[in-house]
Amino acid sequence: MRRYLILRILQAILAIFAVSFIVFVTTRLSGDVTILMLPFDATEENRLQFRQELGLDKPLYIQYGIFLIHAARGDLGESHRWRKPAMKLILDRMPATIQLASVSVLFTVVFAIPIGVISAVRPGSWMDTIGKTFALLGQSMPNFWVGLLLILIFAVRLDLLPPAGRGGWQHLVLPAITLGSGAMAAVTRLTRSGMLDVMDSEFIKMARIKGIPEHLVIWKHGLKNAAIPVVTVLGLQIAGLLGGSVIAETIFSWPGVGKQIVDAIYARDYAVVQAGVLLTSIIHVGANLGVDVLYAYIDPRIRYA
Amino acid sequence: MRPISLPRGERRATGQLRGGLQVTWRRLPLVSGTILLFVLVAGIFAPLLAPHDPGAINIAQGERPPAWMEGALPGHILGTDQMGRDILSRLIWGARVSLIVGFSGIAIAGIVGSLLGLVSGYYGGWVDHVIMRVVDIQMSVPAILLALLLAAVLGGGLYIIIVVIAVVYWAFYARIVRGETLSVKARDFVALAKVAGCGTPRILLRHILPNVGNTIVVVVTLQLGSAIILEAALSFLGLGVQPPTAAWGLMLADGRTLLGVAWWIATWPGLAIMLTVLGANMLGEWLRVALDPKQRQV
Repeated sequence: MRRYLILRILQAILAIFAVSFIVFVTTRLSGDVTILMLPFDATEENRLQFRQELGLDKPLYIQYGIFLIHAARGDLGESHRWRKPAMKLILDRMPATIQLASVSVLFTVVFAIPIGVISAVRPGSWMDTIGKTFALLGQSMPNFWVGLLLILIFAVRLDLLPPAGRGGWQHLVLPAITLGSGAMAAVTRLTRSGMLDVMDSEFIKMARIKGIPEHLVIWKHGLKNAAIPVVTVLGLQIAGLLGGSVIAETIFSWPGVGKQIVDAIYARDYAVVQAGVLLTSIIHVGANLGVDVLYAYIDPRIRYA
Repeated sequence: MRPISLPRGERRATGQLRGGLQVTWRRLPLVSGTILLFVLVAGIFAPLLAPHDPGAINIAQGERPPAWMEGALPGHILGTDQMGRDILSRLIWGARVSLIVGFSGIAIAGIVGSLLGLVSGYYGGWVDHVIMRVVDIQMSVPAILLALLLAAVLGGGLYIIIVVIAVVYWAFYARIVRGETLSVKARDFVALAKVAGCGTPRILLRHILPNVGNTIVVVVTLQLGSAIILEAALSFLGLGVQPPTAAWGLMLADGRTLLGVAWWIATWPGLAIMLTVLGANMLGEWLRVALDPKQRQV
């Protein structure tokens, strides 16, 4: 177990370093920032001076070295658009992203798992058809289209919920569904197939023979044993949601990290893009590590593999 | 007390087989096949099928609804967008973009990834180590962020998006093919081929590859849909295919701000993406079962 843990942690650190390198190189390869930042009649000297100010005149490997040293101190550079530390700009947006992701996970647990269970318990019934359709559609509908449809129906036509921005709970509903649509479909599918397997096993028959009420057989004996893969996927989804909320946040103008990164890309605000991608990747890597360790803890076969 | 609970359980077991996802999908390659055929034909014969020039702008005829609604323009069955371009024609041309980007991106990813997976699994040792660490790293970056970053830096456009898709997806193939290669290379016919004097490239490509081919075909089909979604997402964000090209993601972006006045501009391309991806996913699921003898008896 300890060997596995150490290996896994080393691997995660390596991954974060690699990400930092990729992020650094790619952002420096993109267009000339002076064209965007300075008035178009700026002289060549102005441009040179501006580049020096940003440290863009030094060789790339030195820039990367400086970047790493500063990053270790939590300093990921300054946004030249807002004149604020990039790290702060991203961290300020973190609560909004976490809020959105949590609600979306909540929706997944509250809706997807029961639908999956009912669908598996009554195969071939109309509930099953709904469950299967839901799982198939959720997997095939790109979430930006889900978002637009939700806006069209609930904000434009029915005027029930706001189409954009952050405010009361009403603002959370549509973006959270949009963000979670893929995860909901996956969890429904997994719960359904897991339950189908479990409900067929001997101990479920035993529980029935013992005379345990059917609802307990299903929700306690059945679901508990079908839950392991579902929990794993949920863990991975949380990691994905925190990093992958770019599209949902953009559509609903949700002031989170994803929106911040996209805006920074449009403005060629290197430092903010770097900070954003780096921080979300660290969360992603960390969450994956957490899930793996948890899984190894639950399932000894992985530990010793 | 439930004295008859055993037979009930048994009955459920057979019912489950009849209604199971695998069986339903096995019976339905027709549906997915038809959808994909439609998209393929539209993409290949776009110049012949499209009733109008997809780029022909006519502001005066902008935002006209589909044919069955009041105020429709004759000849524009699905309506026009804000620039007066025919939506049906743009959908048909958009199929071409999605197919080109999806197929080429996945093809590059599949070839590169599978070859690396074969080499990694067959040789083992440090080669395997290096390739698999790169795969791990690749998979630890959220796909959409990596794609955004690359597209933003490289500047969007059709060819760039193909590269982005290849970069995002190759790692899946490498990992899956490596796993399969590990089990295939332990089988007798590989040892026999070696004894018979076959060179390594021949063993890899003629003896091992055909045995992992099924898996690759399934993964390709299942990933095609997700690659099409990725392209549309990037185009939607303005970082993919650039206007005035008719691409589904761009059309969605065009209609996004007009949902209140002209719902059809964003709805049709969204529906097209969904159906195409649905078709690819269903076909992939069907192939997975059909190509796997273990699942066939179900």
